[in-house]
Amino acid sequence: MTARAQTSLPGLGVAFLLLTAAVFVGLVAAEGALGSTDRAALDRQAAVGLSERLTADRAPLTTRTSVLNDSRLGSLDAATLRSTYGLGPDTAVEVQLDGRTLAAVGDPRVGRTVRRVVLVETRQRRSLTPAFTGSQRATLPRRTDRVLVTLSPPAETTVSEVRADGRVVLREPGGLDGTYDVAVSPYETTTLRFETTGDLDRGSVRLVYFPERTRPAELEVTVDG
Amino acid sequence: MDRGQAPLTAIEAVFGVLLLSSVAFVFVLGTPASQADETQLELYASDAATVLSSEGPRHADQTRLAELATSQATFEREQGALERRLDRLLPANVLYRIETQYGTVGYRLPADVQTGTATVSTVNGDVTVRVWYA
Repeated sequence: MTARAQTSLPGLGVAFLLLTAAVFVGLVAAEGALGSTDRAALDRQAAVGLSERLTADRAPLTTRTSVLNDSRLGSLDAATLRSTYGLGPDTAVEVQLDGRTLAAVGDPRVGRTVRRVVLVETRQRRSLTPAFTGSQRATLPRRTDRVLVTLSPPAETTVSEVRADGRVVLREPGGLDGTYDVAVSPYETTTLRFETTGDLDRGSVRLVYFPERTRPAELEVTVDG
Repeated sequence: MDRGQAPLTAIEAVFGVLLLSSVAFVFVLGTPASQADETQLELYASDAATVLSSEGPRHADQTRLAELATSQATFEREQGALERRLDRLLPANVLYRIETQYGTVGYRLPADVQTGTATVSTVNGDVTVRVWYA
């Protein structure tokens, strides 16, 4: 009975050693795996959050949700990223639009990247001088969100009212004269109708409108926390 | 009988090591690795839906998606244009399908694929955007 216990003692020692080593290796591996997914998930969360804030409805860069204003893209730099978008002090961030870097803080090498589909909007300035042959209407050839209406009617003519698609946008019974900024619906073609006493002719009304051009682009946000 | 003693402990130890390493491997291999794809696909779908739902209609109605979901006739008229629009909008490695009550636009959805989904409610019913990696 004693002989049997003696022989197994070294074996028992080796077995405990093996088990302890296995526990240690297992814990290290599990900790490493959990830690890296944790960090990756946090980075991705931060990247998603930053991209949401960059493309939100009333963000500094956008005109509406997911539509970036081309003229404001230059205002994004490292300082704005830090101050406006509240990044951590040692977070590296890079924002790219179609592969072109808009702004970068630090150098994110192992970070997570989130890609967003956005539109980049540029507004053009077009002018139109309606001829008013046989009608008092002018239809804008392209959709716009505002029109600058410059009225300089002939001396015997009074423009009392301007309607956009039936809605009164300008009204002055004594007579409209000068330049007015009129907001119109960007979702439908606008027809302006002028209520006058007397006739309008070519040159009495000049319209400046701002049709938008959009192009699809890909916004890439990389965060390495 | 003396010979059986030492190997028994060794076998127990080996079983113990196997058990522990199997638990460790669950942690190493079992953490979901495809979460990035899923998040990205959901973002693609919601972005496409956002962009389309704020676009003006080509003929008449409130928005482009509402126009698509108005009737069978408008659906058939608009589906080509919508397909071209989405081809330009989404990256080349992402395929899409738009579902309305009058039919679907886009590619055939493969059986076993991870998708991102976004649904837009319009005045004429729901329109669902589904995207997946090619």
